[in-house]
Amino acid sequence: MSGFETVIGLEVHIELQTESKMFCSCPNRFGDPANTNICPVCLGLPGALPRPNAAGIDAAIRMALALGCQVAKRSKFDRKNYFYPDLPKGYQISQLDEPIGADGRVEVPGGGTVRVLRVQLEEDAGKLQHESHGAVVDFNRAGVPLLEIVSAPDLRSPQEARAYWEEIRRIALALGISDARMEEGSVRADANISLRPVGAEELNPRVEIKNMNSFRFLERALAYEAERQAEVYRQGGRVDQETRGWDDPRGVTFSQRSKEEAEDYRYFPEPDLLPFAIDPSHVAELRQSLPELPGDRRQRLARLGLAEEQVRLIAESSARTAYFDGAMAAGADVDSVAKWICGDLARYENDGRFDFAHPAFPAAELGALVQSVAQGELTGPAAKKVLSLLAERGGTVADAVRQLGLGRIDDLDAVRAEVRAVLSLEQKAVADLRAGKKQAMGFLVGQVMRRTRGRVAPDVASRLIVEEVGE
Amino acid sequence: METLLEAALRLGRGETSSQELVRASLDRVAEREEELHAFLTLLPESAIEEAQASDRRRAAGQAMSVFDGIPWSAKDNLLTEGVRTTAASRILGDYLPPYSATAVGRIEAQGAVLLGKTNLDEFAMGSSTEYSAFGPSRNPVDPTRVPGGSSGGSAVAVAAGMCHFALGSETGGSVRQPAAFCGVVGVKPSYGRVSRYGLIAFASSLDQIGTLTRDVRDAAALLGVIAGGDPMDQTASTAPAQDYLAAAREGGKGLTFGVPPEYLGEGVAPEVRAEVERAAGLLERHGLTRRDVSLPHTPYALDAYYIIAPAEASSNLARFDGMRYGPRADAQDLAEAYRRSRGQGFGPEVKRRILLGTYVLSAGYYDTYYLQAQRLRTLLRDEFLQAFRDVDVLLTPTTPTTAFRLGENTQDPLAMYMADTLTIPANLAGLPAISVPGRPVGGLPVGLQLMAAPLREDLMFRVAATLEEVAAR
Amino acid sequence: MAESGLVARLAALARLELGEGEAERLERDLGAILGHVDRLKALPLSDVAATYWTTEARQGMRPDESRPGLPVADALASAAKRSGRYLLVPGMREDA
Ligand SMILES: [Mg+2]
Ligand SMILES: [Zn+2]
Repeated sequence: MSGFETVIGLEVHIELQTESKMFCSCPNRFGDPANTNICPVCLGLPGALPRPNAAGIDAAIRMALALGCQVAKRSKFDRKNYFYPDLPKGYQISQLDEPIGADGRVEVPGGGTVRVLRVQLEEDAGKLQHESHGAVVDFNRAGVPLLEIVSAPDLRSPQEARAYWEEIRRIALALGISDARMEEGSVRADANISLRPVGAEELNPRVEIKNMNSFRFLERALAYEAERQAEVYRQGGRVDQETRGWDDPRGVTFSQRSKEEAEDYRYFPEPDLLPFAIDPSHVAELRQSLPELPGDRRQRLARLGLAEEQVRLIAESSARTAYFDGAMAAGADVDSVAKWICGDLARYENDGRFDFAHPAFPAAELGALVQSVAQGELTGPAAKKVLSLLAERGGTVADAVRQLGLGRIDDLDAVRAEVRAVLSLEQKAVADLRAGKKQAMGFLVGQVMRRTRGRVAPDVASRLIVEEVGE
Repeated sequence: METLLEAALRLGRGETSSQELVRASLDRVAEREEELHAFLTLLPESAIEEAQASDRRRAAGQAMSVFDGIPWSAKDNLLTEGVRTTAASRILGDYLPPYSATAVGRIEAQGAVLLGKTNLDEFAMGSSTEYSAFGPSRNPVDPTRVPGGSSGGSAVAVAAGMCHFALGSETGGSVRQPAAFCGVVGVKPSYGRVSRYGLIAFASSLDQIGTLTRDVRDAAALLGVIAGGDPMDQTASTAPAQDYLAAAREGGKGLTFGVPPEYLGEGVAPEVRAEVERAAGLLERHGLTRRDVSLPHTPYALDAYYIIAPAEASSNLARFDGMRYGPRADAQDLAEAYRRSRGQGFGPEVKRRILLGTYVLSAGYYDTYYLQAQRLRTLLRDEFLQAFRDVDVLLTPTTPTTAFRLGENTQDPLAMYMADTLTIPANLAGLPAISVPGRPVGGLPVGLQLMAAPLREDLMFRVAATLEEVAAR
Repeated sequence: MAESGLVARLAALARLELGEGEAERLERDLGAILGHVDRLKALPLSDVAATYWTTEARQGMRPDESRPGLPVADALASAAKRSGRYLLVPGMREDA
């Protein structure tokens, strides 16, 4: 893409996790049988009227605050008119010119600062599935509260766009306003992308890619589209403003709708819903209640001296950070706690054997484990076994150590006996060691460990090996 | 003809029964319905059953209210659970609503007996009930003339003695104008005074359920039942309803009124103008004070209305698409199914307004039309509120003329719209307004309109009671 | 107004099929109505705030509590076509 700058803006949609829908009392619940949670309001039956959910508005305010937006003193809803079978009323209740939040910013990890133009509240549509004989519609999702977060065109690469999107999702998770499940479509994004010569100020016609529901799709689609547009310009051509779709199996974008065919949404203020004031003291309360946000988490962890990768991993979720903090509170040392969390526990989590949000054993036990190792009560290898058992069965470090018979062998004579036994079995290694081959020492220590199931401190073992071989 | 409160009194004294009232109503329907076509759905069996139940309650000393056992009708754009509701359109087919409108429910909770669903202009868009997909209603006073609209069927049913009271709906005069044409009392409450839940929406910021009754006290009693906040309608006012009946009993003595000259200008028939002046003189003679008021932006109200109402309607009627309810036209694909179901389901007036509304909201025209109209509305409302600092109510004609003949205006939409010029301002400003019969002109009823400040139905009823007492004589 | 093709464009936006001669008639009617409304366009109102709502007291927001919805058989009782628990609608053309 040399010579061109990529300009990307993102509209991220996040379904809010409320008890009821945005404008009616139907349960907001994923996974129920089709058309279980529907009523005259969310089905757009004649005569029905919307009633706004206070929790949806609070969630939008909290998101706006988390993104550093100005929260409107007065806001309102508008109608966006278009026909589609998953849109029961023929219009979506959305927000046009008085969104709940505006003028925010997000620090993208590994990227720059991205301006957030607006945070608005709207209702989701139902779910349409195409079938051979037509299409079927499930309205369970119709009317579920949806946040739309619109960025300025400040993103400069597909990678940065993805990182921004991931950060928005992390913030929503930290706030607890959404379960943000990608696989359930709770988080979706539309992307605008255009190219311009490096150094140019004005924007070229942009292409919109709608309704992406995976980070990988987004990154691939944008990368493809950037290359396609660059090629058009290199050929001396013109990029048309249009909507394009992403065909993932083929790895290409394809034209869906031209600028001329674009819908005229005929927005106007929703007459069924009154404009509402947002009380600054209520906003102040919500601000007080904000949790530590991912960006703050990362800064705090970095100040503790953790490696970049460790910071990234631990700050990824509130649950991991909370676990880290819990272990630290038990008086454990930063580096060790970070190593355990980013090492064994992260691996367990990947394998589905451990969940930081619902841990099988409390963080304080990880602290206790780290301290046992630091104080020489447990060897590293023994600690690994203890951790594995804790992850499997829960309980305390002390119980696990007892159960596994892993208390360290402190009696020097007993250790020496084990060392001698190993040396007599491993004559070749002993010879190698004598001949100055350093690797032989590692091997022999390993054998002692194996024999004692890790109950001997490695430094003690190697000291005794030197003594025994030297004699 | 017997009023609702008179019937209630006789019921209370044991001089009549609900069954007797309902049978008398059904007899009246049998006599005149074929000619007048007030109803789209009649419920003779369930009405008689309900009347029997009501009589049993009363015999056991458990009457639910003074309304218990009294026959009434609802305009067919008000949802009635399990009872066919059509909005006089083909697009709903034989729609059976799964719930009832809040106002309907409140009347049912009083024990009144629903006799049927009345005719209207399709989706309440019209001023003569001629735009009903199921054929027009006729004026009981002169069946060659229209009953007015869109709540024509409700006005006819009350005027012709087919029921004691009815609900209608207003967007630009659809209760008051037919009340004036048929010689009954029509009330449009303040915007938000009555919940709109279960009223099939035409223009949400203007729509309001209203009452059609034989006198002012009935209207006051009925509004007392349906008024009040509703958690299902965010625009319904939570201000407590006043005792309207007490206000009507008190009368208007000591209050002030104005007759804005803008309501007596071009287009208003001289004999209608004269009737208003006569009524004004009578009010003065009966203890009210007249003051000069002026409402200079009145002539623009019709223009603003014919932007705002179609705009909101174009959006409100988008849900009628043949997908979730109503008949679906045969089609090759979705786009065609939409176009055909809607093209075949809506009548010409509805299409006219949908297109007009689509136009004024479309890209590039919103500011010129829609925004401009909503700004005019501010001037209009401020002007009214200013006037209500000087006077308690405004007295005007309800309509520029008496009832016109069937077919007279159907080819000229603008001429038809003119029938609403004097009623529309109250809808735009959200004011309560009432039409009370004056002295007939050339054998045809004339309506006298009173408007009051928002939520001052009490003042409106006080003066209306006096007006009713003195003017029709 | 009466720009040619206007009614066709509006009818497309509003998903309305118009019958024989209907478009011409509507074009005429719309022209007449908009011609009347033009008086309003000329008023200098740019400093005036818009009044979209005329209600005073208000219900406020709804607490976040859920209630079971309607049984699907009732909710979709009037639907033209159903497929099991789903609403069935016509398919879209490829290029639509
Ligand atoms: Mg949106
Ligand atoms: Zn619902």
